[in-house]
Parts: sequence; C-alpha cells; structure tokens
Amino acid sequence: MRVFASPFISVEAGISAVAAQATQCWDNQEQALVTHPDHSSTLPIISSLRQIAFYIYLHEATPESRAVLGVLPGLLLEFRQLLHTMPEAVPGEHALIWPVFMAAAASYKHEDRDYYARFLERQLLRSGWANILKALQCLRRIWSRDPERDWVSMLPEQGVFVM
Amino acid sequence: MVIIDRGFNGWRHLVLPMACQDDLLMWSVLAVAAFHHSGRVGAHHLAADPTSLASKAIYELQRRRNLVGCGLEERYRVIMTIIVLLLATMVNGDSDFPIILRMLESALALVTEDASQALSETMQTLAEFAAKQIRKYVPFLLPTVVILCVFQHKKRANDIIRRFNYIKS
Repeated sequence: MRVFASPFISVEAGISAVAAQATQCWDNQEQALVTHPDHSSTLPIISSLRQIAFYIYLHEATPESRAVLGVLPGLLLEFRQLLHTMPEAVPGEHALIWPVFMAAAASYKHEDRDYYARFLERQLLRSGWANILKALQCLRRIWSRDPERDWVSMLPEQGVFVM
Repeated sequence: MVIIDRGFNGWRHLVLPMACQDDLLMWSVLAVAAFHHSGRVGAHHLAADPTSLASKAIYELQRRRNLVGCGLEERYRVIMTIIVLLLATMVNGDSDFPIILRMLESALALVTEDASQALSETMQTLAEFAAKQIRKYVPFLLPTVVILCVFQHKKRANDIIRRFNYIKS
C-alpha cells in the first residue's frame, strides 16, 4: 500500500496523504520528456505549476493551514510568475486548466483573476469543452461569495469536473 | 487527452481499435465525439444525439453491472468504458460525474478481488493504460474526496483512496 495505507486519522493526515499522492501523480512526465525532448523546457514548468496548484488547494482546504498568514500570497505569486514564463499555445498547455482554476479560485486580486479567466477562455476556444465554460461560471460564483465562506467547500456544489 | 499528441496515443491506438470490437465501448466513444462535435457545430448538425449515445452506454453498463460472473477482460472493457464516460462529463460539462465515479469504484473493486487471472497482451496493455488514466485523474478528483473527509465522511473517502491506490500499485 502506498501513502494511503493508514486510514484518515485526522484531516491533517489525510491532507498529507493527498499531498504525497499529488507529487506522484505526474508519473508519465519522465516518459514524456524522453518521448518529446523538444518540450524539455515546458514540461517541467507544467509539472511545477500542477504541484503549486495542489499546494494551494491543500493549504486552502484545511482551516489550520489557512490560519497561517503569508503562505497563500507566496504560492499565488510563485504560480503567476511561473505561468507567465509559459509561451502561449504550446503543446500541453491544456494540462494547466485545473492548476489555473485552483489558482484563480484562491486569488483575491482582480488583476490575477482576469489573467486566469483569459487563460481559461483561450482554452475554451481551443477545445470547446463545456466543463471549462462551467468552470468559468463557477469561478465567478466563488469570487462573488460571502467573504465568510471558503471557496474549497463550494467546489462539490458546483457540479463540474475540472481538469 | 494526452499531454502532447504525437507518436503513441493510447486513446487512438488502443481504445479506438477496441471500440470497433465492443459495442459498449463504441457507444461511449461515439458519445464523447458527438458531445465534442455538438459543442463546436451545434446539436442540430449532428446525425446522432450525443445524449442518446451516452444513455445507451450507461444502460448497457447497468445491464452488465453484475460483473462477478464476467471474465477479467470484460471487466477491464467496462472500466475503460466508464473512464471514457468520465471524459464525456468534461466535454459536455455534465454534473453527473460523481455517479460515473461511483460506477468506476464498483468496477475497480471487482478487478482488485480477482487480479490473478492472466490477461492477453492486448488487454494487459489496455489495463495498464486504464490504470494510468485513473492515476492521472485521481488527484484532480480528490478535492471532492478531501471534502468528503473534511465533512466527516472519512470511511467513504478512505475507501475511494484505497481502491484507486490499488491501481497505482
């Protein structure tokens, strides 16, 4: 058994297990790098962005983590800066839909929200997948929520599978 | 559905040929294609209704839901079909993905209980491909699972993780 051998003893243990699982989910990246060496500059960026997005989600998913000030702004800044280094429309960009959605949901600056919304709109134009449209609608509901409500708890209510 | 569509693509080189031999998988593949095409050109331009195709696949899945009497290859074809239907919920934005996820859980439970049977080389390749897709999707589906945990449905969350983790191992 892997990282989930133990039952969820506590939310913290569960979150840690999810975090550990998340680091192993990109198990075909090494193969992709071997198969597509011409994308060796962008594939690691995609992987890093996914990782940061997992950390953003996990941080926001636990009240104890959310109480630690300064972590989220740092993660969001790192994410935005790294995403900015990705050229537009490169192969594999669609793999960033979920990470961008998470960063967008956690963002509190209008500039960042607009930036991520434009990214998702470009992906919607390219793929035509309706879940991206629903994801954008979901984000607008998240951004206009009661400030007392955390966005993570809103996700299961939205009825959209974002990936 | 792959990070870079060049060279080998399991969806094109494994799933499509298998769909030509399996009606259940074919309906699910056609449903995804029809949903995607519908989103681009409008439903009135389609010869087939994607919702009907998806309903056919789900009806047939329900008809085959008693997988205990089926061979391992049949179970993996069912698992692959469910994965394709999960893709359909992304293409059409359907909110029923938790139902599809529960179907996947049930199907995976039967595979984990009877993994000693030998598979043909083709089915082994398909099984490995299916396992890869599940490992790829699980972290993105896990936020829903984490919420289940946070809201005190720990046993259910842990059951989901355990079943998916078997695939990983």
